[in-house]
Amino acid sequence: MRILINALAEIQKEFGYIPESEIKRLAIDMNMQKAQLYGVISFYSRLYTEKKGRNIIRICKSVTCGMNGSQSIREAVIAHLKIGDSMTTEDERFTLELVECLGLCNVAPVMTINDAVYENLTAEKAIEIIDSFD
Amino acid sequence: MMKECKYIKEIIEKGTVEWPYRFFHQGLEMGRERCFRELEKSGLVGRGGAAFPTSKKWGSVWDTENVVLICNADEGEPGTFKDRYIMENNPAFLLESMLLSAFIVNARALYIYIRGEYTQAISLMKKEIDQADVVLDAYREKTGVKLEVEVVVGQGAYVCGDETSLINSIEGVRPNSRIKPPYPTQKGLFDAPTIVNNVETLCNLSLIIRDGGDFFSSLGVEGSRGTKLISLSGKIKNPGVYEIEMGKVSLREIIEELGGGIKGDHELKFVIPGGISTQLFVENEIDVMVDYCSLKQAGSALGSGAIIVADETVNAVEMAKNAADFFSKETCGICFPCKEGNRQIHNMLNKIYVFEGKREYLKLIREISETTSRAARCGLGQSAGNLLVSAIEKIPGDFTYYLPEIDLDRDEVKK
Ligand code: SF4
Ligand code: FES
Repeated sequence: MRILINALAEIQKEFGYIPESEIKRLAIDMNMQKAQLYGVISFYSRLYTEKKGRNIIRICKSVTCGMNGSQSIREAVIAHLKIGDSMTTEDERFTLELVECLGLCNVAPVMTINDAVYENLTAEKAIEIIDSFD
Repeated sequence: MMKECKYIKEIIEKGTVEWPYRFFHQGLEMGRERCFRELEKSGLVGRGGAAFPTSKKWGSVWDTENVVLICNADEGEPGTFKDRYIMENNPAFLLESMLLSAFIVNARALYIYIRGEYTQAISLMKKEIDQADVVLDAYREKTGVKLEVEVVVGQGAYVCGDETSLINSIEGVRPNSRIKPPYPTQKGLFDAPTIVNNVETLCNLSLIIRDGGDFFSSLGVEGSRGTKLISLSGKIKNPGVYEIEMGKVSLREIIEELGGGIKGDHELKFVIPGGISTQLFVENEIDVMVDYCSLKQAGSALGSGAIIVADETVNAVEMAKNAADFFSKETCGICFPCKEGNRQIHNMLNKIYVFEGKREYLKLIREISETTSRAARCGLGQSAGNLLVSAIEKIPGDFTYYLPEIDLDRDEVKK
């Protein structure tokens, strides 16, 4: 049996987001209304219907990371990339997301870029890491 | 110096030394009735937060057909990372515990729902399942059921940790929570009787089969049998996953002896004992024993076992704002008081933080959280106010610092 959110994740993996054309196709495949599909997609913070940057930076802003200085990391990254939460840089290099707990609180404060985890961060380290991506 | 208890941890760290999938095979040999009797004797309760007796849940589907078993690995409560620790360190142990459980409840379908953030755990679990042909064949031989194990990857919605939301998520509809009854055990995934259990709960089952229910219930105290994995984080020297025998260690001992105490030259200010849905304790309250009943009696809860430690550099208003931010973002919005209440509380805390608040907000926050918790359908709304209200009550100074002595005008809280 086909599980819708797994199917959506696969599409996103292929295209980087879930394009309209794929939603149309999936609606037919799964015998659903397009609107229903949009309703499902919009519920999930990790599914996108718009193109994102080549690299997705996620900085945790939940309680443990907060206690360990994530605020200054967020501020430094925002100033460095000149974009805010859920925004993409003009050159499409990065999308920034300020997210809730990543389940990595033992190494707080944390940031992930795509699937890589960066632990025990400082603002300087975070910027350095970000600059190493293209 | 207190030594860490290593009951589950031993297996997670060393692997099943004797032979792979031994708990599972042992269970097959014993048969489902005997396994279930051991579970009943063990006194195991769910480790995800709700602490519901596992044998009661499983007993309610005992004679039904087409049971679905879902392992809930959508660990999203801030401060919790013990299920990730299990999956990353010993995916085989979790898989065999899932299969063993499926066998006991006579499941026709088996799912594991893992949060998308856990990319490593997802790939390890998938790999393990791909290599499990031999065990799945043994399962089929014994039960006649060709079981497939489906991995469902969550896509970032905390509320899916609630079992009915999780079921909706797998079904492919919007994952709002459902009204109960009917309970999932009566009408769950695609209307089939459905059991949803947390990762740690299922792992405990393997140990019950290995050591017997009597041994398991000799660990811990009345109402809290066995051990508990604790996710320890915050301003602590050695954060990480620790195991404790329930009711035998105090919060202070966990912090000082297992966690090595507060990081740096600071003093402990408060401790959140069970994740951000539970009431905090201040320094003179942490000699409480860590088990379901003791923490409840002390006015908080064990939750999923996320202990977050704060030192005096942590501002309670900032922390409360942070938690409120979480709940106002993660509410699924289907119960109006939860949606609106969390938004209002969030607004008030934000105003307080920029010195634009009023004294009466503190009272309002308490009232709104009370209403929300009564009207809420699921755990999120029922417990969203616990931490904030306890922070206001126990650390009032942090809040009043931001507030004027008297409120001059009394206009309503605006957006
Ligand atoms: S309590 Fe809140 S999160 Fe839970 S179902 Fe109601 S609105 Fe959704
Ligand atoms: S609070 Fe940041 S990873 Fe958990």
